[in-house]
Amino acid sequence: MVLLSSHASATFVFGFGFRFEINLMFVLLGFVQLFFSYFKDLVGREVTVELKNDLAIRGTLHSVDQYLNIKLENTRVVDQDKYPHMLSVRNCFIRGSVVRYVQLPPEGVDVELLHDATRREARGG
Amino acid sequence: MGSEEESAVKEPLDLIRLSLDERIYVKLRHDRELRGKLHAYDQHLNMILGDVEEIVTSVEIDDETYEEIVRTTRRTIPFLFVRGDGVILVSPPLRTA
Amino acid sequence: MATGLRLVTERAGNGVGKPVIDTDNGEELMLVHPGVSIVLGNRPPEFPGTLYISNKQIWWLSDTDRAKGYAVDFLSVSLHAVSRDPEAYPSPCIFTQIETPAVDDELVDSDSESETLNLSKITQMRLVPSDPSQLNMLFAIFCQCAELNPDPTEEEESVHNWIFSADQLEDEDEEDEDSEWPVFQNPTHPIGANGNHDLAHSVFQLQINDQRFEDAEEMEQYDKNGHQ
Repeated sequence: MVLLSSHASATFVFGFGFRFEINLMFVLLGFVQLFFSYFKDLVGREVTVELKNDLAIRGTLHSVDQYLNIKLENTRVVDQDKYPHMLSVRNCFIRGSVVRYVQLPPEGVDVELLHDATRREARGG
Repeated sequence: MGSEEESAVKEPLDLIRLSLDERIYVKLRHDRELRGKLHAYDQHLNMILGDVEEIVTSVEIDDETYEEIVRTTRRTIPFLFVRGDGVILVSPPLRTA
Repeated sequence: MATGLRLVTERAGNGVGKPVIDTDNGEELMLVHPGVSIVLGNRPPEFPGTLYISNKQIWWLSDTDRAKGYAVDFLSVSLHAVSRDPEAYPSPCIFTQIETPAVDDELVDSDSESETLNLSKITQMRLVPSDPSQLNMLFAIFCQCAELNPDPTEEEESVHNWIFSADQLEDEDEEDEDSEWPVFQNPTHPIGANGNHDLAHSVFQLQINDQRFEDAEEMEQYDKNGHQ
């Protein structure tokens, strides 16, 4: 069993060859909530944000918003040889859509809590 | 997990729900692959994975011989949030593996 | 969708002028800050100039040359930061990283040998205020405006195209060719080929009923519970 996904458009493709376009704004409102809540609880901890352009920035999570835009404090660039211009910026705002990964502190991950929240959300959907 | 309701597959994300707490394979844009234990996901395929191994494959052209050099780099990350918009494919663990 | 940095040659008003604000589309000016130099990429600073910030974009307009100015949408600003480290840059500044239009690198390289400044390739912009004590205020305004400009992809492209059978891949490939996320470039592996049309049909049914609204309430509850 394999799932393929694409963000190209809000379209479901069916085996019969027809499409049905659905605006699911309300889905969005509910579903980004899990990670928004999770990151809010991580405020104050050290994380490493890796951007899609390969830049990796380590810093203290200052805040996060519903779009998963991330604000870091006391940041430093992980690969300083490659990105000398970014050396220790004080405050940093990162647009959510340019994030590839966030490396999380192990003490900030409660696996059971995450499983429960995910199941609850999945069951609702 | 055991109840009939929970194991019913009604929509694609249900397939992923059944993989919670299991090791999954994730293919990302730009030749990145992840293997890790699925701890959380949402509708966008944002995920949190644990015990992650990442493999990045890059192809370079040798300046002199013009041969293709395929390079893979691996690293492990304890816990990783993965933004769903880079995800191309999610696969539960292979039963034969 | 990122447009990158643009050259601004038109201004409104007389004298030095000011940026042309698209008020018809809800654009409004948030801040005018004189005495700012701009540094594009690794080029030397340009000054004197004035920084204009609207709820949609950032302008820097030269104070001396009416035909010289730059603008960038907040949507193209992938990161902004307060930089005070003299090793990173001699003057304290707002550092921004700019997402450039998605173009094939090889295509760009073929005609990029000319000396002219190719603004669409600039990925870093520094704004250096003459008074460094203004940096935190500028950073806060940048944050505020960035949050006013969430990616359209976040809202409109929220739903996946689920692929259930291999014959869908070819269609998808054609459709997605010009999209920003060409996911199925090489559909050589017929993975996901279970051809389970009933499954797809049930997705259809799930999506059109109103269960989603119930979710929203549930999620609110979860959020509250999770934070008390």
